[in-house]
Amino acid sequence: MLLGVPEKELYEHVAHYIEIRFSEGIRPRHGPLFRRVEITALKGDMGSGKWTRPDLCMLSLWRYKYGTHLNLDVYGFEVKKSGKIGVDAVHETLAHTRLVNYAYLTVPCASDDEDWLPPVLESCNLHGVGLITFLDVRNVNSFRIITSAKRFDPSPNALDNFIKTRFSDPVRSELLKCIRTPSLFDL
Amino acid sequence: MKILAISNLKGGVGKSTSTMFLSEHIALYLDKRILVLDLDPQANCSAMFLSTKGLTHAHETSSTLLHFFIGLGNSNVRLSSYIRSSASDVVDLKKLRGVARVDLVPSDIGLYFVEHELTKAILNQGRDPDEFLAACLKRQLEAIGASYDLAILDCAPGFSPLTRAALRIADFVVSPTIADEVSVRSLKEFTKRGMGGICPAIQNGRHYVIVPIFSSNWQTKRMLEYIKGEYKFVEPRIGYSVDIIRAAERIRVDSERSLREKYNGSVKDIRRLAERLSEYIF
Repeated sequence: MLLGVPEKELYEHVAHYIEIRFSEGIRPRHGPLFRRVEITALKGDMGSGKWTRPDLCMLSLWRYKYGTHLNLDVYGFEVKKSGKIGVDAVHETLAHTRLVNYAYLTVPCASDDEDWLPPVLESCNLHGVGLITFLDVRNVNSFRIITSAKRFDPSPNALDNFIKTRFSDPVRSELLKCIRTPSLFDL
Repeated sequence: MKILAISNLKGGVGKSTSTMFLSEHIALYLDKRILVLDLDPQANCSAMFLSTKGLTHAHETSSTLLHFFIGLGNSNVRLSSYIRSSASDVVDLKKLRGVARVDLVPSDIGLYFVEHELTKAILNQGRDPDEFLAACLKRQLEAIGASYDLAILDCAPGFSPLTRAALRIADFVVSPTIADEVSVRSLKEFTKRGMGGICPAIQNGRHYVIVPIFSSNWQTKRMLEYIKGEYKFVEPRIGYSVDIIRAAERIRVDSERSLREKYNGSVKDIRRLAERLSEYIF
């Protein structure tokens, strides 16, 4: 589980999980998906308040088979290492829903008997925060989605500003290119 | 994670087709997690997995190996950003409760130019391009190594910079060949060059030969006997059939079929080949 590893060192591994497995689960079964993951723990100013920096974020652009338009979703992930997991972490993740559509708390978990798990899970379900656990952060197959996040709708301005300040120029350019070429998502 | 390079000097001997069917059969019958890296700019293997439309989408959304190499200057670039999860259209793989899966990093025709430009740039810095590219690939594969059992690198014909890098880091090399004079001559040359220091796996005897497209006549039978005598030939040879041609064609981005539908009469032979090859790899 990489005990004693600084939280920052977990980000790269969690990014692998989001890119390889998590995004697979959220995409529609048919058709292509555009997705980009960035480590955003140190991006954006703190002026918008406390707990406004998800550790990782994912942009996903997709469409329904019979949908008329593209859908853009922003996911935020708060990563905690062992020993720092409690209801506070859920509240911190919940704060991200001002800025992202789906917020997930991602934590190490050696077994289902961990003392902290029931209250954290209850709090996640109460607030619509998703909970992901992992046994070995280096192995994307050891991650489990314990509960899925509920969808939130941040204000369009907040979402735009979030994308502008948290995602890099190349990612934003690629996103705009895809938005302007919806035929890319045709089957 | 073990690394298997599928490589030969000659084109058209079934490298991409072998990559596709071996990855799907090893995943399904041996319950393995496979990552396919299409290092061939012709992107045949990527088109087989994703369909031509899917490949176009990957190109347009900057989600191919080409874009990974373009982004190499950026220290945050991750190979995992370019992985297409569950790329195979074999529905049996998706129904399984086990770990079996085939993920893909697709290629792009532009890779041909980028790998040569990259080589020039590395040379200008006074560094060895083979060493640099091999180290880069190895580092990226190691970062996700715990998540896969086997990485299959589908190499371009010849010794392109990326093929040389793949041969450097491969634990095993499989050379598909056709049982004819020209193909066997190129196999000889490939093995000779590989023994000459390009590929430690070949030097250490971890080089296997398969015949994925076999049409039976007295000439090919004679060549097959020659291959069996000279190389570590892995049985069985796969008979040429329209099934394989159909298997290599994904009609739509979202089309699915069972392994039996996909490979039809060739399933048994390919399964035996995959299992025998796996005995050497795992």
